[in-house]
Amino acid sequence: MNYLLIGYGNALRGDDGAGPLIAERFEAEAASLMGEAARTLKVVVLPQLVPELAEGMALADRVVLIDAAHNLKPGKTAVRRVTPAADASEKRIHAYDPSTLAAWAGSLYGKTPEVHIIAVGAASFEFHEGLSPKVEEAVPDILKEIAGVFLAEEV
Amino acid sequence: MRDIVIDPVTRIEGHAKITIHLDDKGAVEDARLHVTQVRGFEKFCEGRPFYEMPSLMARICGICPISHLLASSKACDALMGVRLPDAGAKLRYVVHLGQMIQSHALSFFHLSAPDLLLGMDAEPAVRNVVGLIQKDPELAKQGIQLRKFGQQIIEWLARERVHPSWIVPGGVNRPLDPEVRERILAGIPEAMKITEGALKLLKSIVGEFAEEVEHFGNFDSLHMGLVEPDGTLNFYDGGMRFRDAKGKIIADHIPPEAYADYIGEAVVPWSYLKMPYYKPQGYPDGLYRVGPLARLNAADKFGTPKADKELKEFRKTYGPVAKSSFLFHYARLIEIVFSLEKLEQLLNAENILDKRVRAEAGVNFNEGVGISEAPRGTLIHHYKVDDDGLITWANLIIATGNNNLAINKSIKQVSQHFVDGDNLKEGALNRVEAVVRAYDPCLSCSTHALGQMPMQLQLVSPAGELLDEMNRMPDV
Repeated sequence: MNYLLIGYGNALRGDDGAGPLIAERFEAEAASLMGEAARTLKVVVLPQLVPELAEGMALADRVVLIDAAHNLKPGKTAVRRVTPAADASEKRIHAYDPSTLAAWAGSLYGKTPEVHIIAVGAASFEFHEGLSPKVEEAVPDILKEIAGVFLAEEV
Repeated sequence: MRDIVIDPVTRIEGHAKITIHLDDKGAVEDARLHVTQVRGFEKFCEGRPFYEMPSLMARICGICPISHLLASSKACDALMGVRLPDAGAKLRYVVHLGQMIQSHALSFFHLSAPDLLLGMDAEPAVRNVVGLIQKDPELAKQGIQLRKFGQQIIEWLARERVHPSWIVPGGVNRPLDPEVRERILAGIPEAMKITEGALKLLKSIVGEFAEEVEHFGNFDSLHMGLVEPDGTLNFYDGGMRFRDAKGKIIADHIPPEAYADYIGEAVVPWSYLKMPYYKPQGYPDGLYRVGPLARLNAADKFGTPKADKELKEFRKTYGPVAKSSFLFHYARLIEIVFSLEKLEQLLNAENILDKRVRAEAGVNFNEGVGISEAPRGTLIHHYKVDDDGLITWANLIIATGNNNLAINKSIKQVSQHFVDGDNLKEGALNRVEAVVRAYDPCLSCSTHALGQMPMQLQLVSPAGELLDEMNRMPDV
């Protein structure tokens, strides 16, 4: 199975950088978190989702996106399965959403992978580099959660 | 007088509103593009050290930050009084070409192709990239691929795709990795195939848009762009040239520090975007255009074989100075061909792998101007510093700003032909927006809805009575 981890957000806006920072840390520890399965892991870190991600998603079997969320307690996570968008309209030129990209993976590149999003609760979106203490504290558990989603038999 | 309002304008960068003013008989009397944001970069950078300016100015835009990095760095080069190592200048041009490719690909395939390929009268629900994917999925994929290639060039060279820190005063801060050079060269043939395919497609359908070609900003104007001493188009460096509608060069090889002798800026009460004009002809007669169409008109040649062949064909069809702003779309694709050829030329240059890529110095002059061709047109950064190198004053003439007068005139022309004041027809109003899109304006880096227009139109009587209204809001 091929795995793709996409961490996105603005690393200059405090916890909005949770996606990229956590994805980078996961990549550094992938071998210990996923064992042999880490060999087929690709990690992409971006400030925002872009249309060409659809091609990369179509090459994967299981995709996890990780992003900060304002509506969760700092450090808490929420995992959900992404349903490919039925109309897949390109709503915003600067904010392609996971469901649109999942749909495009299928309609343009012939394969819709299993897509999950892990939202990480943020304490602050102020101009700042680095994570807030509560989010930083939660990172080891979040890394295990990502590995758990990737390695689940059936999600 | 009655007004029709389009707010916001869709499938462009930034926020804008268009008002169409009708007379009492319902005919279009005037039309205006209102830019509704103020950014403040020229003021809040005062007091900052000059070497921060490229990084600060890159934040003006998330789509074309490279252009601002280059113009700003060139202004800083002038403050330092340095001559760049040749490899450093070449590498700046290479990353510039990456940006041209990705920006023009975005403009054509994502922003304009839905109108061109699905038709301006198509239903809004399909006149977007989804409709494009359904009609021609291969074209949609190619658009994504081409834009991706341009973005990758930037990322491979500069590490960050958006707001990279690689371009600095004096040059760039790292030489070219040979492996990156090979990677870029390997991607050029596929990118060229995609571009030539898109050009062929556009040429096959442009005849269906005879009415648009006739009425989309089809008027005499000056055209301005950067050229080398022999008249070859250059995106990165060169002197400014102004050519008139008859093909006469009226000002040539203007060095950056003399721009203010030729370009004035007028202020209007109904928009935050100033109106640059050609000073010797005054305001508003000194209207000029910049960007792909204007560059093709201003320059003598591209200096690369495929682009020059396309240019010859273009001029054979539309004359030595093409007038219609609809042809920005065509010119944009030819510029991608040039960018790919120039990329190959630069990457094969003997000294491109040289380790010396940056000149270093402190402040040696208290004033510096940097000019570069952004995807949307000529971009000017002008700084003044004190003896410690702190910014005391800055003036920016943004690429799209140069086109402000032309965009307004184009909107009026389109409105007068396509808008019937008593009937708010979808296709007519889209044509008003489409003429703005032809210029590919970058009003700021803001989100907006594509395809499904979040549009509210109101027809108001002279007495302020609401006569008619159209509302359409996207699903968010």
